[in-house]
Amino acid sequence: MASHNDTVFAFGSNGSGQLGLSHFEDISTPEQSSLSGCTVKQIAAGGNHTLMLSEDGNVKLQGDDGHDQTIVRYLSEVDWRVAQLSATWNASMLLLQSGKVLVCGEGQNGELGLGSEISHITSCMAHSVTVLSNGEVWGWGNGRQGQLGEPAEIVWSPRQIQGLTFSAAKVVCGKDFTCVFGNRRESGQVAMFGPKRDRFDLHLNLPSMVVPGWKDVATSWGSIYILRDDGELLGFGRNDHGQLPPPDLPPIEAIAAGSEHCLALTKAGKVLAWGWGEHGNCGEPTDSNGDVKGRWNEVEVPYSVRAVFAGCATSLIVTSAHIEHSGGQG
Amino acid sequence: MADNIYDEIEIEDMTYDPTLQIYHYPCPCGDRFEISIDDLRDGEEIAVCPSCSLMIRVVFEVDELPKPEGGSAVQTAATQVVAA
Repeated sequence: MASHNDTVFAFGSNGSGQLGLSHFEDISTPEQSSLSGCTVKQIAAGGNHTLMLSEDGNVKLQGDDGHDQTIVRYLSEVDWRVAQLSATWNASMLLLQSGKVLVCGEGQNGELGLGSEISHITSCMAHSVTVLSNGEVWGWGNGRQGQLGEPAEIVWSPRQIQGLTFSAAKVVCGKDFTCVFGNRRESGQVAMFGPKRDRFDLHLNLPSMVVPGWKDVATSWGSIYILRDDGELLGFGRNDHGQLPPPDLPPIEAIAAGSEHCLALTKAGKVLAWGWGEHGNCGEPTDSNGDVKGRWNEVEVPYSVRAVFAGCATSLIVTSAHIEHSGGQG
Repeated sequence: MADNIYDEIEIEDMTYDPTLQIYHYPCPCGDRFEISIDDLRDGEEIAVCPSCSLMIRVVFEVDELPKPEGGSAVQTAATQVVAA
């Protein structure tokens, strides 16, 4: 269709300015609307707002803005092209040309299709899992080891993990499994999904309850760490590189699990590292296999440590120091 | 399982790169385990990571590997010769 500038005339209810006029009066004679000025593809109307889609994929909004103007402004910033519009009483649906749908506005009866709010998200090598505010657990990605529940298969869009008998508070993911924890204070419940091929006896060794409770939980690709309120660190699963907590650890404040190693911040503020350290990610020394096994290294940084994080043979220590950065190196 | 074998991975879980003619799978060091399809056809089953000491054993059946493209071409050529 050749591009031209349409002129739109509107009449009727206008108490919220939904006709796009220069006033808020109801009218019975058509007047020129500010929705004019582009090639109109579609107009959709909600209870008190009007959405107009132009042939070039832009959206205009008139009337009760609610949350809607936010997203129209957002669209113009990211330049996402809209293919089609629809509206409920007080919400707008924008089908993008990419096949995704943006929703905005009010959804007191599910109008936005967003389900419960997501309260927690985690990922491992090839799957991601979320905890919803209603305690359900949903995941997607590679589920061939049962890490996304049954049936064990690749899951292309989010799917609820079935068979959970309690309300989830937190979830952690290993490479081939998902471990769900219930409310930390009341139940201490734990549930495992996957791995079907359980080489490191996670199902056998992981307790079904963590009582008197956990402060934090973490997973490497094959091990599960449970930090208790009193600073004791429990570990289950893979230990061939010394991934599990070594004996006689001091009280721990926080933990971070990498792919096959673990960092701990002690209550005394020291950083400890152990496990597979072939790339230097557990500090020095390591044994001839590159492991820090059955013991730990203390890793020193010249500032007060605030937090620890870990990745695939990477370790990161956050300090509260304020240092001028030159930036841009490497 | 030998200590230096990090994992046993079914070939269905590996990614095939048709350009490099290799199967690969993520290594916990951040690089990836790799093995060429020709090595698999020869019965080799250990995929190695170029950046660290870890290795995986690939679980597969030689008969179920994709057939080499050259194979069918040779077959066609031979058939054509006979037909000529």
